[in-house]
Amino acid sequence: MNEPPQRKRSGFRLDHFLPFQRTSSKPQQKTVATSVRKLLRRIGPTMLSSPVRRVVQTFCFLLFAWLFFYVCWPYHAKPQAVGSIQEGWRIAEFDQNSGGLSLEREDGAKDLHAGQKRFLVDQGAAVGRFNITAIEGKRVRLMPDAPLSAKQIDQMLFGAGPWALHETEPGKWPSHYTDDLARKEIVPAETFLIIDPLVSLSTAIAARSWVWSLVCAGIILAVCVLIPRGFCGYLCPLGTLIDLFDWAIGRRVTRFRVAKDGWWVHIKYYLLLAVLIAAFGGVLISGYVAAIPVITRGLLFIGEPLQSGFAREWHLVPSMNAGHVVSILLFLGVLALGLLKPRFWCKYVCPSGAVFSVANLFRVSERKVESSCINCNKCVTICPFDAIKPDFTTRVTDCTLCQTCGGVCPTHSIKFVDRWHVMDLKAVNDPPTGETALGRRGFMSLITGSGIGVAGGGAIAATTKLWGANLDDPNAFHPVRPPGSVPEPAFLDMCIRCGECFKACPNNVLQAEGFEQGLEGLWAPMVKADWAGCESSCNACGQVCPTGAIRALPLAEKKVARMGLAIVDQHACLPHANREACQLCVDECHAAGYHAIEFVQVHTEVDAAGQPIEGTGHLAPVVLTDKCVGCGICQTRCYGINGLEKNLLKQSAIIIKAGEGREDRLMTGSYLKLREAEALRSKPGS
Amino acid sequence: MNTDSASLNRRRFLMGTAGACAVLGTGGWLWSRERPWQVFRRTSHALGSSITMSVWHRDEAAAEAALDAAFAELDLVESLMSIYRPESQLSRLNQNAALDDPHPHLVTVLEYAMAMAKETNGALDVTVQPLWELYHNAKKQNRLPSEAEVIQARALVDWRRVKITPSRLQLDGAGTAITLNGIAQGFAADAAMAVLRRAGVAHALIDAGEMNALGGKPDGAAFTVGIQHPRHADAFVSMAKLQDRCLATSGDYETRFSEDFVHHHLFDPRTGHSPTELASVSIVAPTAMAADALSTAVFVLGIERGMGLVRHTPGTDALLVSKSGRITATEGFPLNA
Repeated sequence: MNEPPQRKRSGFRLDHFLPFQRTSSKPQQKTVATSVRKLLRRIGPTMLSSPVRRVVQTFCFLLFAWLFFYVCWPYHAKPQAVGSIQEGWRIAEFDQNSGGLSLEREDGAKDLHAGQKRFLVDQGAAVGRFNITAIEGKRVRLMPDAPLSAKQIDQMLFGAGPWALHETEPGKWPSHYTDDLARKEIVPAETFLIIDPLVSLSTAIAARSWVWSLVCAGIILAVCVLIPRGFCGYLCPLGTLIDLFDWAIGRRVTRFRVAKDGWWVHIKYYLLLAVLIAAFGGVLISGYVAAIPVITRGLLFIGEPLQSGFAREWHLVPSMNAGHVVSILLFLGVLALGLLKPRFWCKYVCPSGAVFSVANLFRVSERKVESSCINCNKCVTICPFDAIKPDFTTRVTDCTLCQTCGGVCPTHSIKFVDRWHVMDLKAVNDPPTGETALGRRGFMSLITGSGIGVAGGGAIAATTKLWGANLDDPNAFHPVRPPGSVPEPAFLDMCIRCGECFKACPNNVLQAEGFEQGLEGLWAPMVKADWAGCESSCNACGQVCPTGAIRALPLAEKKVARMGLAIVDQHACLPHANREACQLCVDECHAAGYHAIEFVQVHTEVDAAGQPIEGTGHLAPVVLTDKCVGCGICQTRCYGINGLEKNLLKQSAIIIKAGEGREDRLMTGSYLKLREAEALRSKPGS
Repeated sequence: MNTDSASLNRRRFLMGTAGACAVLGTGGWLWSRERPWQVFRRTSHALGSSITMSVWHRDEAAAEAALDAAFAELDLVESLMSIYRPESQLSRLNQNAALDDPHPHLVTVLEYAMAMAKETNGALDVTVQPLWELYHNAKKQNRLPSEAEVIQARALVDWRRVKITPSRLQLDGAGTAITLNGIAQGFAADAAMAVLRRAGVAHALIDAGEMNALGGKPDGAAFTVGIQHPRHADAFVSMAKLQDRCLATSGDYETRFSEDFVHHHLFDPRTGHSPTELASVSIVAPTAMAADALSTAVFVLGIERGMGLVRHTPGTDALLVSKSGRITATEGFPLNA
């Protein structure tokens, strides 16, 4: 086949389907290629005509599932086991200049070898990490890892001993959940969420602040200049899932099919308009309709309970509330749209897709049909995005450059080239398309749709504000937010309600809010401390949040970020109410390393001389307000044992509450610095 | 008949003797049997607080005598060191800036106070009376003193102005005044306990705000005493076990000049204000005076330096409650676990 001369003029070509094209209608020789083709044909025509797209789609879908079900599955983390401990050492020599020392003990150096690293410990306080350089009989020679500070030398000189050698650092703050997530996050867990442009765009508008994921959205939009709506055709896991649904179910159900294109082809633009108008009104509804949040939340509320149930225990699956049901119905509704037409959602409804459609106006690549076209209509029927008009020209705002049409074209007349090299185009002499032509009716439908979009967006913004959190109301409901959440008004504007944080949260501390704050707080994460307490060794929620509503705090920061304050109900607390001795919350708090609950002796009876009578009264808990971060493990324990197991209480006697003065919510800046400043304020002489 | 009567008489005599012996024997056995332990208590008011002494003894008369002697000693101490009695030796010293032939008790206490002041670098200072006066008078007018007044009063506070010889006490500098309210109760408890011990008492507990335990309870158990919680009036921080040791607590809740526990009767001589770190300090020490003095000193020094001081003082342990409620105790503090 002679190549037309114009072909050479075209700047670049993107015809990656070509290797799989049928080359001729002659009998095939048996080659690897043909058997591959047969296999692909068995799978389906779209696979055969555009294998590259299917491979990329599969990869992205599996990557999404892997990120969601593996990376955000926190239960691989195991706390570090306490290593071996050798006690009873005496310091035989200590050289202050080099820091080198030798220890000796009667039992000698069992299980120790030169080259090992050990922590030198004096009565529970670690001095530092040392290398074992040599073993001489009962003596062990050590050299410090790093030069000793003056304080460490003091510890060495004034330490009472006996000394111990620990394999693991004693009293170290646990970090296994954080470490485990960092180990697994080869790609960020929120990758797909941050490349959904509508997520970052609407968040930035609603919160009126810079959102760092705008960068990623910008990059993906720039890529779409090359591959229009490539995100939808290649990357979007929701699109892939809908493809799978259409293949499995949609094809087999013909009852609800809509044949022609109608007014709904532009719904996505009006929806996008509504989302942006609402965002301007300070209400973020993109999470309800944007592609990635929809699939993330759908998989969360359907897949996460199943995963928890099968992989752990069914009783560890939290119960559902009205918000869950709404979200699941929405997700199933999105899938069910496929019964109307394949990928109906993506083509006509998805506002994230609309963003790309608008970006398509600035595309540099173009699908062209040459005059060798024989009007066989194969491309029109196979196009998964309905982007080919009946006259075989392109609906440029819908084409994802998936190139399936090129793969099925029997005459190779479909080319993908850059926009400016006009090729030998097919003559336009085709039947009308059935779309609303731009005339009076088209204008009317545009006006109506835009009007509904603007009015709807405004109405949503208004109702949400009216029937919302009412944060100014003194009796407003203040949910406990995850550690590192930005201030509540900004949080409600920035949280996209994707549910990624619920998935990454160990033991489902974070659960979806229902209608406690009206529409405004729906599906936002809140701490359900009756269910579980925030792990001291974990900072996953901030790490996986795509919009920065929960800031990605390092563990040291998260440790001191107050999410709430534990408040003891003195009428309910068993020792305070003089019912029985109980120290569950105190033990729990000390085990977690916060040491924020102290004892007080209450209800002690005194004798005539005012001396306490032996055996009366109880030790009762008192919360230290400057140490408590509101993690809620005390509440979990109290509710679990005293409430559920022993039926002594209706609800936990110690409850974490958020609100003014009980939580730190910083938009920027360091929580550690905040704590230091507080400590300075309460210090004398300042 | 005769023989009969004679035999009868003998029999009657024998019977009578046996009966008498039985009665006497029983009585003697009863008399010689140990009498049970009893507890004798007496309360009176001295040195600005109520003092209760409890003595465990088998003999009421001996116990009462011992208590009489102990309370007499208490009166003596009060007549020497009370700031509330104008004719006490301490008041005369403050008035005249000098005192000849002071009582040895007073010399002992002041010498100990000076030694502590030296050791704590002035954290425990008996010359803070001007500051106390200033706050006390301001409180009467429902106000807090101004910073200028505090600076003025602080200038009068310096433990080095006190000169001590066994025959003469002297205060240098105008306006210098001494208060022994941080030590005198402890000393009084020690002195009273010494009297009880000399009177043959082996088990006693003196509660003068500071606790002073002699031995334990007669059954060998330690005395259980409560440590008042600085923020919950009806609760204890914890219980402590005392056996031959003394417990003293200084807290910001005892005498307050402001409702928020910021200004109270314990002053940091260097700033003229109350220390801001701690809410209460409990010290267990061999003598009540040491416990009393140390609790005040540690309160002023704060957690870190205070704990250092306690570690360096043999036989002492501390339990500190910071203003936030954090409890810190040394290893050896006899908590009732």
